[in-house]
Amino acid sequence: MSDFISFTNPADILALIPHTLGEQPTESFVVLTMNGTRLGATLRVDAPFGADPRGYAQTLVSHLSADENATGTLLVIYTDENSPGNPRPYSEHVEALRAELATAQMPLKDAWMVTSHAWRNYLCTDPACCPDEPLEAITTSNGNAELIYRGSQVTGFTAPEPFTGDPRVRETIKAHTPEGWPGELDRSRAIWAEVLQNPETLTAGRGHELAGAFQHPTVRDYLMADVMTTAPEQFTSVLLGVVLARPDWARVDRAQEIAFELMKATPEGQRAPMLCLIGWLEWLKGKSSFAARYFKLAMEDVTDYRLASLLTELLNRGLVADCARNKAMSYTPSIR
Amino acid sequence: MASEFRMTEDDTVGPDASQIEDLLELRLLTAGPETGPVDFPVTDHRLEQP
Repeated sequence: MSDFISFTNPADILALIPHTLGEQPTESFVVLTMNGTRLGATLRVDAPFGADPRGYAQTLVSHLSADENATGTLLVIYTDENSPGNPRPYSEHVEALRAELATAQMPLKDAWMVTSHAWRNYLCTDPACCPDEPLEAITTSNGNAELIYRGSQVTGFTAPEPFTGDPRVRETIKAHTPEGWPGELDRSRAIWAEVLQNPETLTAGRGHELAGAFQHPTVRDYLMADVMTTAPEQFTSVLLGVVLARPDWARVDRAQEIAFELMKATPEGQRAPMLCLIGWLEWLKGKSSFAARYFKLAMEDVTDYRLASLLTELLNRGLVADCARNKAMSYTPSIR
Repeated sequence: MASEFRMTEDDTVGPDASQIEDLLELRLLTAGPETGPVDFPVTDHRLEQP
């Protein structure tokens, strides 16, 4: 079987986007880079609303420039801001983007608009030539079928399950929270390493111990960094996605699954660190929208939880993890 | 001969200390304007024009 899926029409490309992002975007600009006929990075940003067109376009192009091999781009606008009197919303932003992309040597090859009801070409306004197409054309496209056949699913946001255990667990976890001694850090890291290596070693007792360890900010920091085995020696830089080699993404997926498991046995008010871990790993994968939702849940769990608050601020400033910007390092969903 | 080192409570890490949070605060000093979250996953497929 070929490593690549071939897309032959716009519906195929529109089908690919939710598979790549994990959900159907709304009120967003999505730009795909191309290297010849090969698709590269997918950039999703919030629709510009009142943003200055040129500044907005420059911001997008500055993100896209991470794909050094890009020779062209495709744009998809997800919006319901269109109306009979304004069939091409954000036209000033698209024109500014077209100009900036041309300057950056990755010209815009085509553009489409997807609403809640239909999709159509954005650049061609002749309905006889490019009429509205039903959304079913996307879901029934060959590209979508091929992606599903290869095991890809548009899973959407995975919310953690609520805690339904014995409320006394709260005290157990509290009792396991380290005081900050080096021996406690070493022990927590050793358990975490073993569970990450073999999730079957996660017993109820170890779960409480790890949940307790995550409550201590310094220990939490080390446990988070320990997920990434290709981190630089200075462990804090991995937080921004700086890695020396391609991360072990299967380990990252396992870490997220374990964090979800830990939360099943962790009552409200103690779940924020695990939510931060899951969100941070989503961000490393290039999925900031999901990450932001986990950080929001963390701040709902523990009001003003500092790590979640800082990471949210970072995301809102449009920061993309280093490893997500580098194709050789970035996350690839496993597709059969 | 080196003197014996004994750990005291002063050598423990404070309950609120976090190098990662400190790093984030520093990084935010040079972060750009507010744009909302940016998704940037990578695909690896081929486009064939009909």
